[in-house]
Amino acid sequence: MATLTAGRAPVRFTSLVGRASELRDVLQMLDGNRLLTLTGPGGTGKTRLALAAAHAADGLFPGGVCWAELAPAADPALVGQTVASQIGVPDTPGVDAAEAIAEHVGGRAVLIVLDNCEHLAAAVAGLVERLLTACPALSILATSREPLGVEGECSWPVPPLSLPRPWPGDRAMAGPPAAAALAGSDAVRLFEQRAQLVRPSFRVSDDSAAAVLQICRRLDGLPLAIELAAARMRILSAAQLAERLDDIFSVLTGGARSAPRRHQTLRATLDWSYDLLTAAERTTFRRLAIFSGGFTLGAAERVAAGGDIPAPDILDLLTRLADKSLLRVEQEGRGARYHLLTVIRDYARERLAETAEEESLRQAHLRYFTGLAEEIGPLIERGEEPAGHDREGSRGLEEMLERLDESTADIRAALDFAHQSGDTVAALRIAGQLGRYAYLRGHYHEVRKWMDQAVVAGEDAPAELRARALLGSGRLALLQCDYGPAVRRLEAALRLYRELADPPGIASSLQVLGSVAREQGRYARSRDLHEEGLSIAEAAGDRWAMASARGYLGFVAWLQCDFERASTECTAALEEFRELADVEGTAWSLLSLGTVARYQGDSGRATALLGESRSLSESIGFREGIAWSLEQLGLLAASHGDPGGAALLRRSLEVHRALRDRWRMSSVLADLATVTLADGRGPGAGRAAMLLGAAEAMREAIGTVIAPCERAQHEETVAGARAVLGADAFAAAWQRGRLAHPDDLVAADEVPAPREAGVTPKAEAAREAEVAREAGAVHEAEMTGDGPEVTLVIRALGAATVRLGDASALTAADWGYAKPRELLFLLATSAPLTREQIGAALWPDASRQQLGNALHTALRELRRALGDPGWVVYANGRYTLNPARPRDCDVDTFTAALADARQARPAGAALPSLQRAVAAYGGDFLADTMAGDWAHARRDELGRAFESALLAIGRLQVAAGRYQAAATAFRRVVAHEPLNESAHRELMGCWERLGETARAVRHYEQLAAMLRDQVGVAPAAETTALYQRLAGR
Amino acid sequence: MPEPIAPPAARRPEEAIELVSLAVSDGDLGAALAQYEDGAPLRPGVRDGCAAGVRDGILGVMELRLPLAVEISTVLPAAGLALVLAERRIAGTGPDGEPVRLSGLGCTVVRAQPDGTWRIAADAWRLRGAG
Repeated sequence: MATLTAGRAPVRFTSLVGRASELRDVLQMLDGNRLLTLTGPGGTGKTRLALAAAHAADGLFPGGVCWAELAPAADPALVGQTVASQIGVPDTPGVDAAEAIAEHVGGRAVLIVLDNCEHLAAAVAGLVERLLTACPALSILATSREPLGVEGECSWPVPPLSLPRPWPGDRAMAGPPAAAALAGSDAVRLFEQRAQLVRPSFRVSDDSAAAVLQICRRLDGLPLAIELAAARMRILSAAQLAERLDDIFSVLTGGARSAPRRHQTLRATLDWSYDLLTAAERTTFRRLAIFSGGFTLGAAERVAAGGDIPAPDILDLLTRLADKSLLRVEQEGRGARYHLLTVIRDYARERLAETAEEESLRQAHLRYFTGLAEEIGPLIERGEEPAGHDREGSRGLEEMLERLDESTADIRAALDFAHQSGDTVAALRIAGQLGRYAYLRGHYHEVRKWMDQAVVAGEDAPAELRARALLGSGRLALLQCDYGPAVRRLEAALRLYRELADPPGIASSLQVLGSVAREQGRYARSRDLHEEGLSIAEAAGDRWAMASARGYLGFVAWLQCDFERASTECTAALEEFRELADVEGTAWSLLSLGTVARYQGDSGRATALLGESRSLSESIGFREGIAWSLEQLGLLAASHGDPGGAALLRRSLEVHRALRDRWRMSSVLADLATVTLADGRGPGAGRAAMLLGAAEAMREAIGTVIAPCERAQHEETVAGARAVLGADAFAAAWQRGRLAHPDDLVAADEVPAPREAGVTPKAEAAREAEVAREAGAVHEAEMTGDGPEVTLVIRALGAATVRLGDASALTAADWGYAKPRELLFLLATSAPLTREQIGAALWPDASRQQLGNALHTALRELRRALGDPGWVVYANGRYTLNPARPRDCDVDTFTAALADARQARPAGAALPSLQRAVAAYGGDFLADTMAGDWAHARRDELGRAFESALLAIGRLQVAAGRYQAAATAFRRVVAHEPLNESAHRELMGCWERLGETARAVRHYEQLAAMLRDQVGVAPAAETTALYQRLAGR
Repeated sequence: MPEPIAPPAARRPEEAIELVSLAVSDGDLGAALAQYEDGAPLRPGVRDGCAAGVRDGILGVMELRLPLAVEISTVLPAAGLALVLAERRIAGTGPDGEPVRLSGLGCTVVRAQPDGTWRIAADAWRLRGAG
């Protein structure tokens, strides 16, 4: 199933046929029932109906509609996690998934669709009960072969597609039906439509109507059975098909038209389809059931080939299976992706179980996914692309991450098999490679679990594999601020790396251990660890590692108020990082030095250093650096009484929260308390006390302390708030803060209400706009893969703005930082771009890895700001704005009008197009926006085109004898570009024709003076000749 | 949630003492306790007269959030046992911002385990303010 993004409904690549009345029924039931389960045997069309309902119901649920696909999940214990990760709920240590989802949903009106629940019904029922109890406005739409059995559940059997209504003469068997008599039947429409996929000329005619009717009735209107049968229309006529089905079904099925009967119908249809396959097709079909999710051709070749099926035959076999509707194909940017519908996979698995092949296939599956993890994991780690052996085109970081996203269900299955079969080495090889993937995708919990399981099971596995998994798991635990387990893993990794005498492994372990110690407030230990790391780096002559260790030593020093050592270490680190052109290290060193300057009271130096740090962090999408610099700049601003300081702190908190860095969040909450108290307006002291309480609760939860450098500010704020409130009220407010959700406190602190992760106010506006769509549009959207119908309005000529539909323009807060916005303008005004082209424009100085990170982050922020990832698509190795979505960009309008003008014949007919182009030119490209050299080049190019258009208008007006209008156009050219001599000359000609020769002469003299002063040249001979002619009169 | 990653086990008698020191420095209480046999008596403490159990004793030191250095002076093996004498030191700034400087000698009995590792059977160490 193609899930386009976490929590959003997947897009089907064929249209939904009929079901209008069922859709109405489902929407009505959703209005009055909080748990609606669509039931029915496989192939009934439950998922398709749920999908249509999810799209159509969006307007009923202002909090959003989320989609979770449970078919690939096998372990009931993972149901909560599977749902949480699919609907974008971040995992937090110590909080179980159901609780995290409940907290995420809160009191908002949200619809969660749980698709394919039957194999996990009990676990799903438990989850659903908890969520419905905890979230008063939550509704759930489930699809399952059986009801979930939860109290209050409304289960609704999905009916078959409508069959033709009786027509005059039907009962009397007076004669065959005419095609028109079948026209209202959804079953017939589906049959016709699917048959046309294999025989485009097929139409239900009067001749074929009787056979089609017989087929649809024989198949009980069951959508999947009809699709499978229709796929045979390539070689059979409708009459032949009806006859075959009749023969088979008279033996296989019979009795009343009931659900069991429909179940038999599908089974019979599948048996029939399977029996008609060639031996090679059958073998391949069975083997494909080994995949838990979708798969690529390469995966199928590596896993399903063997024996009588050579790998080169697989493509043809997949195509043949797809032709027979047994396999779905989705064309994506990097090639086709295949998958089996759940009911078909179940059938294929049954068939596979009848053979002796399952064990060897699982081995091949495990080998393939081990190889995939080992191929992609290191590339993600280094942000690199593979050497030029890739036949599927360029793989950017995002694409590699997506490949692992798509493979999650199969990686899980491969790991399960590795453990079951005792192949602990394979489990370690897979899990050990997924550390950075987990970091970038936020899948800390599950990947850490995979790593731990592999380490525990692989006691006798090679030490280097164990060490890598332990280091990876320790890093993820640090990211979760789960310090105890982090230390346990990192010390174990360090021990192994010491035994292996592996200096890079030792250095990495020491560095992460040092960071854990620092965050725990074990500063002396942190310093010892980084000093050892520095010694190792010095012994190895590794300049980068030396700079890094010195930077960390400086960091630890300033946290302890040892500003002298901090300054020495960070200055040394800065020099080295600058020489190494390491932007992240440079930004980090500047941050430290800026913070030291702030503590030392040197505001000017602090502002400069922190500002540069922030710019550098933004330029490469270094989120930790952005969040830190925002915090320090916020404190600096607040210390000068600048009210903007609080906004910077809130933004810092938001970024830290996105990173799930509770260590920093606790500090920024305390900063906000200080700023709130200093604000002196309203109930500032009470809110400050609550924020302090919330910060304390967070510190206690992760086991850390207030850093020495933050202690004085903290104590001052505590004393100040207590003095205002009195001891009792202060203690009560503090306690309330300890129990409150930090989001609520910050929301009360005059910021917009906390919103769903990844959803901006503009995205909410887009969602509201979507509500207005009529139900009919849903199907169209489903067919084309379109997302929201809202128009993306981009104004890049003049004052640059971006908005969605009629909403107000996105603000700096929506963008987070400048690069995502610049990326949008680049994509909006370019042909599809490769990663390298984007890098050359936006991050010309970034290394390959830095570029990968920067682009990945900027893309994510851009998609977040637009509220829907579908606005930016990646196809054929290039990024572009989704061409299928409505967009209104002034640059497009301008260039399209110029193109029209060029096509106009005779030339005089171009005037309206030229005027349209000039009207669209609101000013120079990104005139008020800081952007890279690419924008300057684009500005020059568009500016010249604008001048050419004005010149052309002027000349056409001259030709038409409209000299005043022509003069206006030429004057606009010289206003835009004072050195455009052609325009000056044309203008002189206009003055002459308008009888203002003296003005023309004066104009020449002014032009000559300007050219002389500004560029040191005389006017062109042609201009001078005109002047001499005019002056000689 | 139970911790699936086992703490390290000593492969030499004196390593048990070193691992306690490392675990205290790292703040890993579980790893420190894992070096002791169940019911092993411990007489540690930051102050004189502290006779809490192993857990409380270790926690008291750990709360200083400072590294615990250990220097082994004697390892005296016997049948399945070893007597280890060591000096422990803590120096730095405590969480309250006050300077900390403690040291003291300790005497530890370590016993060989059936799997070949070593665990502490009895331990006595005391940290006093150092000049």
